[in-house]
Amino acid sequence: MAEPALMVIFGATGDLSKRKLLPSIYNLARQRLLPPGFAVVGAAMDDLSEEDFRDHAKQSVTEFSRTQPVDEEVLKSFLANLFYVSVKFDDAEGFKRLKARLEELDNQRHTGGDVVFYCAVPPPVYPLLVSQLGGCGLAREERGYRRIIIEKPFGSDLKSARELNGQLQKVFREDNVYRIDHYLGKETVQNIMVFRFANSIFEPVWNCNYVDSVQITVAEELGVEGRGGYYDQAGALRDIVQNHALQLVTLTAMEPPVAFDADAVRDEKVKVLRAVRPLAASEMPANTVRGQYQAGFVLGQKVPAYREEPSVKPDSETETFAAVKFQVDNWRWAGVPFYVRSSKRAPKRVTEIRVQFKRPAHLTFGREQLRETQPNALILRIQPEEGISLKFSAKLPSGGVRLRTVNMDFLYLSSFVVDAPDAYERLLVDCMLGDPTLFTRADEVEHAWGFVDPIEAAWRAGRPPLEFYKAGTWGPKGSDRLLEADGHKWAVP
Amino acid sequence: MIRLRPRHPDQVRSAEWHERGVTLPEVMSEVGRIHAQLARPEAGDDALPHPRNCCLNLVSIADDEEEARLAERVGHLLASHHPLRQLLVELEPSHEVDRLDAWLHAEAHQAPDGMPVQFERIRLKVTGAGTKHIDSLVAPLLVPEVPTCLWWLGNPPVSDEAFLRLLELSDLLAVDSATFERPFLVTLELAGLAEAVGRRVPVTDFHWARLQPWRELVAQFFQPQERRDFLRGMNAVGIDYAGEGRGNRVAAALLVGWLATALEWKLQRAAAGGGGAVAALYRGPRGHSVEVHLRSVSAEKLAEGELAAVRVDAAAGGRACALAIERSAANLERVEVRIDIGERETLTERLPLDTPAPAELLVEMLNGMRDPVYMRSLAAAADLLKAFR
Repeated sequence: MAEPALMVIFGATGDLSKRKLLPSIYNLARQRLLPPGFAVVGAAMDDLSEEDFRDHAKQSVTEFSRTQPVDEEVLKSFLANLFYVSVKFDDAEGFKRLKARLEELDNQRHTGGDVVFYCAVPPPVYPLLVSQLGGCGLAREERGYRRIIIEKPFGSDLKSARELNGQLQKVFREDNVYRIDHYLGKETVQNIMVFRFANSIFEPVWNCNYVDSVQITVAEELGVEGRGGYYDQAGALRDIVQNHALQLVTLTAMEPPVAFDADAVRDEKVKVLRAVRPLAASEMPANTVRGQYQAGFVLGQKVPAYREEPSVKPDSETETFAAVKFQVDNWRWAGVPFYVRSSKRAPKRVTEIRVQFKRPAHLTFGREQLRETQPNALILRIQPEEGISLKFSAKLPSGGVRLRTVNMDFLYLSSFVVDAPDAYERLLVDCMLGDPTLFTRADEVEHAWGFVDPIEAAWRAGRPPLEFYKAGTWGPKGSDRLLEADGHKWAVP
Repeated sequence: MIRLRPRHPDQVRSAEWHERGVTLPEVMSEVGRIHAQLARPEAGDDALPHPRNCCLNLVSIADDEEEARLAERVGHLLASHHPLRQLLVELEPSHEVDRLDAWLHAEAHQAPDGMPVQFERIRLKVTGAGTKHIDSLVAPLLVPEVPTCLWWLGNPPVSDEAFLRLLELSDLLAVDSATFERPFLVTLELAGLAEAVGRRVPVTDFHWARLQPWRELVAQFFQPQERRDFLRGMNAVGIDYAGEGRGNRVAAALLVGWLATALEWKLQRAAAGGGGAVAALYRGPRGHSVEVHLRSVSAEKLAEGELAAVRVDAAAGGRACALAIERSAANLERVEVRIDIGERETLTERLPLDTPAPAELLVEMLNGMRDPVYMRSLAAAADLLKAFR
């Protein structure tokens, strides 16, 4: 159990807070995972009373809590621990009021001066917010800890990420900065490490001697969902590949850490990012694909083209599909291509890692039988239907020898009789416990930008050209060609 | 042939849900809920629930209620032995309103060895314009990493874009040419499709699977070493099929196609006469002629197009032989086999003729998956049908 603490949510009336943060904190309360005295202080520009904020929180929990129906007793108690301070982020007076309110609550609730600041505000506000926290002394650890949680995107390129890191580190110690990538809070993402390092049978084949290629797919059926303005500036490469997808790459490719602690795990992840071979400008057309969706049908519904979405420029060149092929230059992965793709308006939401193994060295059962079977593959499915599948060949029960590929499936949903917590629940508790293992470190973020920036630069220069794909498909034709060039093809997730 | 039997009700736990006018995300959410609901009671204090078993996505596309009920029966029986997810889509394109209705039925079967077999049926009724984009409804509901069999009941709309997109999601296309409304045209289209995409998505046919006992009887006749020469000396084949007029000749044509491709006959000419009769001439690899006759016969108890009789004549080494396989009028599950070889006395036998249920035929087709013999026979059957067009 974490020590008693106060949590300040900047942007407490925003979308992230409404859909994720407030329902997650309610669910932590429901599981009795919040320390006694814990309280949330909402801080936003809206001129609300504490009662207004509690009404807002009640509505958000009722609508978005993963556990339903809502437990009225828990909700009542949760709401009683919510407070609100109206803060204009460019006005130091508001931060002084916030400081006074925190001191008051600390005295009342015996939280020992421990405060977590959650930045659920648009990224351009981060520097101002950090500067105000520093300016009014809210980041000073005179009594208790002062931690800050920063949402992705962390910068928009290597330069801005370095600047932001510099600004943060002027005010907070690096080990008090929690850069959140909610993918890392997902049970199945954490399970990648458990699967790899708590079992002895997979690690011996987890290398270039046995692995043919690795495919990582992060796809969703959704469009930009009212975030057209933001998305048109970001695109799939910066929105997904730079963070979620590369985090999955690091967990798949990392060496076993000496322990499951923050430094050991993050050191190994950084080593992977350092080993990812940067792509030269001349290599972009053969190794990257960018696409944008056109009108089509998704989940049975007609959806507009990206350029017809609200707040998107009608001649936008922003990619909603990104695919990148690269190598991890180390002893373990020499010569194994990593294929990463991210897509909006895919046929369905799916995130998975597919480790494709090589075919057997000798065709004992002949070439014809080989056509009927696929090589071994291990699929780590992050969402939905979280689980693990192992594909292998088996004999069909009939005369003679006929082979068929079969699956051995492990599904979280039906294998453990508990609901998986939301990623945010896990990460909020970890932050209060002072465990940053599942948060990204400054150097991880910078190395990821270091890989992505040259791709972004080439794409902005039109290399390769933007391709189009119909909404409800798995991306543009170039995506298939990317793998066909190596004799591979994308698996249908 | 594997015999399928439904589970005893005591061995089955089930859950259901249905709603009219729903969205696909709502359906997906209910599928997950029901799946978890069925998995949970298995978890005792000492044991975790078994992982979900699923070895097949069976996508069944029906044009009406009757076809949908047939698909339900087949999926359910198949699931008694093979854990699967059935997506049953009933299409009503002429309806004015775009709407999606959904029925979920899930079962957990407790098999004697303790491993559960789970069956999920997601039945969707799609009306209006949505019927043109059923692939966007089907794709998100497929269980990943298991084969997908697309079973199109009725006439497959071979040139329709929605059908082709659905085919891209599939590993096998199953049709029943016995139910084609325009068997001649649709079989030609199907042969064209098989030629175009068959390497990636094999095609199979219930009507072909029903021919298996007939093919076995013909092949068994020529199996003994002393009769092998007759195989090369086959000179006449006659096939009777149930129907009025020309009816549905697909099964008969497939059987001829099977013989023609196996024995390397080349079609010379064919003509159709009155009353459904067809005469065709093939030339064998040694230059000898093979006459083929198809005719429809009235057979009340047989479905249209089903075979009623196969007769084969052959000559080799100065001897003649004749094989006649005729379905018994009194008992359709028996055939009378008559064998005449040279001057010997006619040998007559009555043998059982398997009449497997559609689910059992489907098991055979799924085991075969890629059946090159059928694909070749279909191509040859299409050549024959085209020749007397």
